Amino acid sequence: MIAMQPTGISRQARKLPLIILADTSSSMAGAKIATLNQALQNEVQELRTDPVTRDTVLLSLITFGGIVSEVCNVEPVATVSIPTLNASGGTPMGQAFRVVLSHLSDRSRLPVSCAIPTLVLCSDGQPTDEWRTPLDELKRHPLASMAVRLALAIGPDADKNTLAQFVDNTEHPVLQADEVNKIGTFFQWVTLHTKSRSVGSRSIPQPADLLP
Amino acid sequence: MDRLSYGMASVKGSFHSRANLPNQDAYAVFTAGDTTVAAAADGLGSRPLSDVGAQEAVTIAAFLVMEHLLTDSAHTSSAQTLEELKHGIVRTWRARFGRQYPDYDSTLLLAGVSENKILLAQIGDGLIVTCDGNGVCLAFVQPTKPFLNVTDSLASRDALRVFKISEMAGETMENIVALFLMTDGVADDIEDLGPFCHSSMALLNQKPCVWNQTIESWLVAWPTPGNYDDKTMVVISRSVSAGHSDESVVPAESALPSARQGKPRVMPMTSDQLRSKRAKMVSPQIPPIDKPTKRNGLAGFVEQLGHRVHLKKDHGDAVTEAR
Amino acid sequence: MLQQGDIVITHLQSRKLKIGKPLHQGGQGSIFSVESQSLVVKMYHPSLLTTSQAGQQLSRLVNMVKEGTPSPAFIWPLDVVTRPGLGYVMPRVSSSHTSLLDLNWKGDCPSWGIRLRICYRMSQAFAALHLRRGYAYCDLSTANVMCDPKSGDVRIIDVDNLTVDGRANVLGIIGTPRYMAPELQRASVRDPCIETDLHSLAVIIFETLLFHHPFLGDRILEGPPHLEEKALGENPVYIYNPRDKSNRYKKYDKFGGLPPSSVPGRVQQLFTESFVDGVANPRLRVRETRWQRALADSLDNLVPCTNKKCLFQSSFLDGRTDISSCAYCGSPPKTFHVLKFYGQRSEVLRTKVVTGTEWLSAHHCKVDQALNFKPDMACAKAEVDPQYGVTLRNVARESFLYRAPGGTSFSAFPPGKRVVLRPGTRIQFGALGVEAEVVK
Repeated sequence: MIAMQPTGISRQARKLPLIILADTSSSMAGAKIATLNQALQNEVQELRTDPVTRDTVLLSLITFGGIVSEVCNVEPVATVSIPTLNASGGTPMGQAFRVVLSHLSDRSRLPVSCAIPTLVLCSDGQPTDEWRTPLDELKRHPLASMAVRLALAIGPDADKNTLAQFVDNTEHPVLQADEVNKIGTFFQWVTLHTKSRSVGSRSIPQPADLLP
Repeated sequence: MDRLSYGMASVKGSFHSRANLPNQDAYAVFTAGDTTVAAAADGLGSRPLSDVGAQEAVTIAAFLVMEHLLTDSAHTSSAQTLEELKHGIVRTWRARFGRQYPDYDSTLLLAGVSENKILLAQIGDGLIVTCDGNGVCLAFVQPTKPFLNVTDSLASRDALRVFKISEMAGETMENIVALFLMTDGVADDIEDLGPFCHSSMALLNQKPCVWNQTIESWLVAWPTPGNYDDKTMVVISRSVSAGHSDESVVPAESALPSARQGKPRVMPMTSDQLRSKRAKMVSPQIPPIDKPTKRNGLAGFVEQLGHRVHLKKDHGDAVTEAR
Repeated sequence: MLQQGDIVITHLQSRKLKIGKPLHQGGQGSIFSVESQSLVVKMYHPSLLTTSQAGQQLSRLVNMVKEGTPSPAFIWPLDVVTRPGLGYVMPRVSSSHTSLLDLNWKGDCPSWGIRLRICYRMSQAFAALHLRRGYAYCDLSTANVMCDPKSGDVRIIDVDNLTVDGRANVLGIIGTPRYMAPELQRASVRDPCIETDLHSLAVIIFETLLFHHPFLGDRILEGPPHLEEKALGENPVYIYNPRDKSNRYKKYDKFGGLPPSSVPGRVQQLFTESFVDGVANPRLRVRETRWQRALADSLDNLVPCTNKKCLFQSSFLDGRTDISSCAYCGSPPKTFHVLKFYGQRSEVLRTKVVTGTEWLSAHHCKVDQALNFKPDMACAKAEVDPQYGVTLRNVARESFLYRAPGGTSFSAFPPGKRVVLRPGTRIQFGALGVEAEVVK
């Protein structure tokens, strides 16, 4: 008779933390905040209806418009409810980065067993506070720097340079708002690929790299 | 002394046979006389050639540890010797692939057991667990990785600093009855190490000839939902059940282990065979080992050789030659 | 009043246009052709707008002209006209296009392939409008969707009622009763928004595919007209609501239409989501990208019929691996193969019918591609070889792998080469590629 399966094995699927940083400043008023709201609703519906992500994604939403506000905090995507966001105030992106840093540097905010967090910045890229230093700190912090950073450009006049600095990685280009559902497919990839803590990184060859 | 028994299995992370995508876990057990070395490595999913990197890590590291144990099986090695062994493993592995070595990145778990000592070495995630006669199970390295899909590895910039290596001898060593090696596909889902290891030790009550299939059945029926990792588990034990002298002449496999079968890769060798195998492991960039030793009648065994390691996709050949 | 022969100078680009024949007179204004150019001019009726409304509409139109269209599917203002009255210039819709209203109820019923394409292109157009601009269309109905029944191409007209943020459009248009969201119908919400557009989109897709209305059951259709208004506004019950049978539709013989089982289960599921959960809670209405995926997958699973006179031209595979006869006319289907695509977790991603003319796009073949039909990212093309039958040619720039049926290992499948499709053949599509198996 074969020995029984060992005990002490987790029955819970590994969690995928997703943190969204949303620009709700007055520069986003009108069509842009409408686009942002649509992108968020789209994304949540995608994640909620995909069997892989439905039971595993934990969503946090931090908005920055005037003040930085924590709207949702590590909530299961199957039940989270994202309110309609309104646009007002300045663009304290640097302050938002500091808040994210405080979240990411505290490991106890996330479940013990979870994958690297994914961070998505949704903005038209026009910050009104000092943002380079907080971004640098985010990128250099041993724990926070592990997060994968993506950016969603809102509006045709979005400042892609600022957003590109946030992403800082050729593997993940800045996405347009209507490419928001690529975030879902991105999760398919991130859960399968273990990264080394510190290696001079070479990106995975994308099909384009195989051109003669 | 009791003969050692071992069991191992590795299951590819998808249950549908997909022959073109290799299992990125690699594992093997090597024996030579009374010395047994087990190694397991987990190729990083983000690296394109990590399956090859893992295979090479297992072969190179197991060989170097085997050599170390055979060269000096009586005395506990000095810290410096262990450091040099560690450096040798990392450098030889990296030299294997030249400057592209990050594309082959992998973790590594090693356990070597000789008559008088146990050597353990680990870089990256996964678990090496030692269990003593009282049922106390200890992890060699406490899991420290902050997230599941990130780990230290052989290509890490600080690999030499985070690579842990140590030896046990004397009573501590004598008390150990079982050793487990598990890659992260298994280790990351263990909620309670104690109960897990105790229940796994039920394995030891069975005949060693069924250990492989038992472990495989555990890995195939893994209960954690959403776990698509490759899973590997190797166990070495002083089995006091029926002797298994047959095991030591199990023929080595020439092909890479098939994903579902988890066929053992065993390399029983005489010292002549070891010497000739050594001669076949060569690499231009690693400086020769210049410490000839005349202990244990293996004089001339360690020669002033440069290491030139041939890059062969199927290095299983190297294993079969040793027979 | 504008007349044929008049010359009009446009407001922003000062283009000179010579007015041609009047084409259409509607409630809002009149549409005139423009001589020698593929343009039309819409002029609002002078009495339609107050001065301030005209000012608002002018500035919205100017904005739209400056932004440009979010998608080629929209007939978008190219310039504005301010004299002799307020109007705008837009591209002319080709005469090969007819309105979806006419197509669904009067014209020859086009095949499944065409109708799915029409629905796909509509969803794609509105995804662009909603996600790229954040605008709501507001008056989505089959009268505003022009289609080419030969290609499935779609053009959306009457784009001058767009709004942002749930603010009212200048003319206060809230929609067409049949397609309006229930909360607008019963006036519990004043202004249209993107979620009300989504309701209209779902209703139109339902009608286009199944030829009846999702909220008008047998009793309503047999009863007096005022029941219809109530059915659409106060208490809309989906005619196929699994939990509420009070509004069932069964009289296909009398009222026409196809049963919901005619479309793949996945599409039926989206209907249920939109019309059961989405009625009370607009947040739960199905969004365009999900429609697009379900419709594209349905297109991938059509097996063509050999009977040229068959009304529907093809049957759905819907989870099976083989069908022996057309579901509508009983004729044998064309010879076909079925490719089953597996993801990196060995889950089944999709199936695709291959008869010899199909393309495999990036989203079929790669793990990390959402719907992607970009031609330069096409991976493979099906071709019929007179000797070998249906083959698949690698049209990408990287090598794939293939394994013949019963083979033990994969061989290289370089660009430009073809692989014969036989049951059991497996193909792996390169870096970050999925694996496909020929199951039939």
